[in-house]
Amino acid sequence: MINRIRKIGKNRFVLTALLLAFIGLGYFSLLRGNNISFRAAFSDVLHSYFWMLFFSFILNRIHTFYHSRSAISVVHISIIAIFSLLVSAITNWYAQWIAGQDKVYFDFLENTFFVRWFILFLLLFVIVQQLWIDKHLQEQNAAFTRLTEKERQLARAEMNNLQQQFRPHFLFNSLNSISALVKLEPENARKMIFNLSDFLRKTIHKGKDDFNSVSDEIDYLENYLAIEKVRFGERLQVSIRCDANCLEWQIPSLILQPLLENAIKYGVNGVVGEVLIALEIKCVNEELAISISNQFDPSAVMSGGTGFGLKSVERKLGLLYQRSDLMRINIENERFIVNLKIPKDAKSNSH
Amino acid sequence: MQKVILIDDEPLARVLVAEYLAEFPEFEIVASCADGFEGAKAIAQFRPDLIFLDVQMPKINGFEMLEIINEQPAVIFTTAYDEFALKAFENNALDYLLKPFSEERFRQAIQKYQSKSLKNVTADVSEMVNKFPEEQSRIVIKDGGEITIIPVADVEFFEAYDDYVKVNYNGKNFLKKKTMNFYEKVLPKNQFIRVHRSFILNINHLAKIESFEKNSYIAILKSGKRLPISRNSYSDLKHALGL
Repeated sequence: MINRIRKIGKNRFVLTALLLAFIGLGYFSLLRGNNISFRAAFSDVLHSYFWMLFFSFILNRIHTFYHSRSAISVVHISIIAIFSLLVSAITNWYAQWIAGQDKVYFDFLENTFFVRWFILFLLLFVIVQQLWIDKHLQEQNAAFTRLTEKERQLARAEMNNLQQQFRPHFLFNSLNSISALVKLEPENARKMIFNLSDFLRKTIHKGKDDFNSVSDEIDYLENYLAIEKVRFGERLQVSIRCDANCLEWQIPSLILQPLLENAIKYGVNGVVGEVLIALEIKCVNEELAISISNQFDPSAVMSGGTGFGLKSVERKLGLLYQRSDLMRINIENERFIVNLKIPKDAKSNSH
Repeated sequence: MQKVILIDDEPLARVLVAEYLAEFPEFEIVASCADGFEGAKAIAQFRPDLIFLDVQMPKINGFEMLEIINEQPAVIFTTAYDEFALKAFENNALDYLLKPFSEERFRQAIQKYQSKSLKNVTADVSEMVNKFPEEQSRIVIKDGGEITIIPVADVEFFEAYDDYVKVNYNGKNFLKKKTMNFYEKVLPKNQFIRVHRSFILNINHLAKIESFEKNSYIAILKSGKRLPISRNSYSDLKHALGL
């Protein structure tokens, strides 16, 4: 878009210059056609153009003038008229001074004053118009740059937000659990440290790949679950079932963990007592069907962050497969169920 | 003997506080609770001197729990929330322990409590609650022994009522000790409009606006209730409705 604007700007500039040169040439031949000497005709065109450009420069400097909303206005036109009159008066006076003894040229200047004024008016009008358009394009351009910059910032903020939501709370609570375990159950404290570091390491590495095998992702989930189980104790009951023939399927990386985290968050925070979470992965036809469900209390009103993890997964699927129908959410018998369909992608699941 | 209650949804977090506290024989843990409801009940039952309270918990968060209990014990927050959200407490006669916290830090908090610098914190809590996202989506109300959680989006309208605000939800009124200005500030501006000094209206419950005398309007809700619209807020309302 920006490039297009720039291109238009450039083309327009070339066109205007060509137009001016063409009119100048026409004027020159008109002078020559009226039996005016080459020297006089040439100097006439030159200084007419000089004064015209000089006055367009002045016009361009008049800032308030350019703040008008439209390119054509009464003020606009009258200023151009006055300026072109000035230019033609100056050129006339100057040309008469140069003409000296040249009777033909002298008469020509006398007779054509108004015609020349009109031509100058038109030329000045074109130039000013072009300057006005240029200015607007520049403004648009700047606005556009600002917009993309804003979008970039938004994307960055979203990214930070994602990390913020996911990490610190989880990490610090886990560390607190380790702190409690150290004295009570040193062996488990050590296990927790390994689980936590494994989990963090995998998060960093996996984030770099677009796809991973189902079995890899399940390992990662087990890792994550081991930590959450220490934090929430016996309350948290998770069952993971996966068809054996699905294990080597390629799925978008880190797509299951946010779903599980979401289920745990709403299960644990929304229900008092034991929380049952079930994850099922099956191959159906050419698709992988994933369902994850948690108990929830429909009457509980959850915090403002509802569905944050779900949205990020949906967006990711949309980006990777260009489809918006891959995630469905159902609520049945006080269970919150998220169903995913992962298509057999020719590229990633070729074998 | 000082009575203490621990309220945290993670069992190990409670274990840790209990372990640190064992060093101080003058404290006795009378209850250990896994959520805000249990906590509120235990506080009413045991009237503790001091509670250790987590912020993010099932059902209602720590601040919401403090709002609904009648008698405030001294509070030490234990939380994994970052400092910024809780910074406000530092000068406000409250203490908070950021998880994971050391035994030294824990001792400092106990000393602060023992030097009697932990005071009643109702006002601060009220301020704090709206810093957490929950407050924008739900309102916790205690009516006698019953606790009701109202989804903000389903509130029909708010009405000023002396020192209270009447929250009109499901055809019933619930009293909340807050001000109209508080709600006007906290509620989502595109959905809740202060149509009158005494009323904040949820535009999703608006059925129509009727003209009433010259330059005067009345909002008619889907439930059939009628609310006056003050002259100044009519344009706000129109703006919110995209007119």
